[in-house]
Amino acid sequence: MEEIIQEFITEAEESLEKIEPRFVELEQQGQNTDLLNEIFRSMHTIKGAAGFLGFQSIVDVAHASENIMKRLRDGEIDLSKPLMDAILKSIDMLRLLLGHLNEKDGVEENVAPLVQELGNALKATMSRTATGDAPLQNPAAPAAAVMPAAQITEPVKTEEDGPEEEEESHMSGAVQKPAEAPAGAPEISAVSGVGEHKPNEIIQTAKDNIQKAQNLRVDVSRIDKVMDLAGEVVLVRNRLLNISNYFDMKYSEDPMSEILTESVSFLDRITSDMQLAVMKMRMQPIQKVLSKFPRLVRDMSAAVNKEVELQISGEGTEVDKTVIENIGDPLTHILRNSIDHGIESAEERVSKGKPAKGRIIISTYQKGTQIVIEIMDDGKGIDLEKLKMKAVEKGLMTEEETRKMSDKDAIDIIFLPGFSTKEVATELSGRGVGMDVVKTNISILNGYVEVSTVKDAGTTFKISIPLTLAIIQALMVEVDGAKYAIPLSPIEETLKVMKKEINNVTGQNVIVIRDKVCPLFDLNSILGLGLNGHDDFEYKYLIVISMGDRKFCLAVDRLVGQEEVVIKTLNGLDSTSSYVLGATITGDGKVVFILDVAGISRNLLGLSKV
Amino acid sequence: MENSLVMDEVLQLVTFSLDQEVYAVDILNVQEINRITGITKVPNAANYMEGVINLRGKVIPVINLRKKFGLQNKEVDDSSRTIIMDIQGVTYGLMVDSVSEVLRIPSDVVEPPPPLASGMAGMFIKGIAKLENRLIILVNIDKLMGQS
Repeated sequence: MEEIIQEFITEAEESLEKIEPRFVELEQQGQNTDLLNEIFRSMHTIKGAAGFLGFQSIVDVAHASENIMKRLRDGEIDLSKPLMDAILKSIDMLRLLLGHLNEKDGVEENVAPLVQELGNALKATMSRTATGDAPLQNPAAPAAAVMPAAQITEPVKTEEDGPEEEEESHMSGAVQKPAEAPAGAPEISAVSGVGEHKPNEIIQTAKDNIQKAQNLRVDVSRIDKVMDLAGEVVLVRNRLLNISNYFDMKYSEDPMSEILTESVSFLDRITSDMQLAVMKMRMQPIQKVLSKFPRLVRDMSAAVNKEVELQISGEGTEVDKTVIENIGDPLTHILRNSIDHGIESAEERVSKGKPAKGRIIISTYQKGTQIVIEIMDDGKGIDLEKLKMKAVEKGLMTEEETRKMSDKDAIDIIFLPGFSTKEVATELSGRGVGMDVVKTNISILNGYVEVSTVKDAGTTFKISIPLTLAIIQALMVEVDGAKYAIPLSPIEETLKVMKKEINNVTGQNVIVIRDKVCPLFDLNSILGLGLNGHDDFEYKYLIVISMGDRKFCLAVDRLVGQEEVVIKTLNGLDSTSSYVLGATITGDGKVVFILDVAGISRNLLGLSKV
Repeated sequence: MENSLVMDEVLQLVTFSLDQEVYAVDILNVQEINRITGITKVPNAANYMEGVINLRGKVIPVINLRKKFGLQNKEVDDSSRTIIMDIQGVTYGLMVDSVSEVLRIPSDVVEPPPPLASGMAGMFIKGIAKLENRLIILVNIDKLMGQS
């Protein structure tokens, strides 16, 4: 709830900020339907949201000014200065109210006078329009229009009852004037001028509140720029660390060298902190994506006549903005799939002894440097035999292949492009698109999906995504004289083995690690670098990588060490075929590629090779 | 008067050499010209993709133009250069034998490529500039990275 209120405040403030200059424009241009429409819409949105959240005073003010704007838009009345003043005052009041909400100071403003003023202003204008072309000849009209202008000061002062009356009398003195004065436009504006110093105070208060607002909306590109710069600083820091290590070794007696080491290590610490801080700027609670799902599930389950209850937990988990942008579609597809294929109809569920109402649980949590999103349903599970049959039917693989397949591999059939088990495409799913999108979108985020299923108990999709996409911990390795960075997160361990420990089983190199057989691949040949006849190493360094539930080893020539690297995007390179997810620049200014381990795993162990 | 205006339209080109020939690209696409240093090889890349370089913190792919044009390969030497260019919004480095000069030529000396120009290089030619005693091949850089 807190989240939603905060969102509403920021958004409302933003739209107020947007429409205020429009009023000025409107005043200059006169009747402009487009402008009026825009203002009307914004006001309407604020009113709607406030009504939903139960902020009655905001609704009242917004409603009153919306009324005026509607008439203006429909051409029932013409724009006049008193009208405009009244509307502008309502905007100031809205700001003030939003400010109180933001501060949570519980101060209630009395909006009734303003609402009345708005109503009066409208009535006055209406009656003027009704009385003919010379509206200002009726002295009562301007008086009515200006009178409440004085009252506007009231709400601000609700706490201090004393001065209020004094002011009121003072103000009504000022208001007296138009009634006595000969009617005419100049007079009206003069009167508004007199009243102006009071509304100014309100504006002042509103401004103070804006300054205290805790949220600052910043253009994403600016944050990205800071992010880039922070990345550069990291690179320079890495470089300085190299240099200071060198000096430390060469001139260890020199006190200056010690000072250098000290300052560099200080710089090291702040840089890490800064990096984290910048990274946090891009983080948003995953709630932003999840909040639309209850409605989605409701609509989707209604469409297929099933009853489904959605439970969400861990929605406060913060993830990178890119994750927020890319995770929505895959999650929708998975939910859709669960409702359509997973959850049974109510009768079927009851006959199986399950509650009639199906249940889907989405839970999000952080695990190390990974964000895990689990989507669990209590449906009928995935029928693996049926899956295999379908895959053969569709010509996606041969019967022979499916027979050799492990259960884990069989589940992955659902991620094949063009696969669907539904006989007929329904509104929800069955067109054979979807699940492959899930896989693609998630691998864009450098993450992976695991599926586990139990017959009649349900299916769980587990999505793991790295916390940040800009800076990662990596293991630097050397192959054929060139350095590569391997993201640290999927690395389980590193080993140094004798060459003779490597066995070859039907053309596939394997190694036995603690009684478990693990396939082994030479990074050199994966990267197509060609063997430069340096197979003469007695030892091989192995990196044990586990992607989800799969495990394999990569053999490299040398392990260089662990480093924090900044991912630079590559433009103009086909990065999928080269197993590269980005590049980084090392301390010495060289470009080092960051390997896409997920891609390697997909290609080496994926279905295509089964 | 108007005729002479058209005649006066001047092309500013950066010329470079590959093998025996002189080529040119529009100066407006050229960002800078660098010596060749610190190229990192790209795994599983097309053969003309020489690698990537670090250009003040940006990672930029370098294309070996000799290989792209199907010419004999040549070792990098002192006169080898990379021309950093903007090709359809992406920055690339083009590796050439040497960069010669900046040339101003009237646009009317440029002729369309000969219809017989075939082979890999044929489609990368935008036109041929005929100067008094030599021919300069204008490279169509947009085509250069278009397909692949």
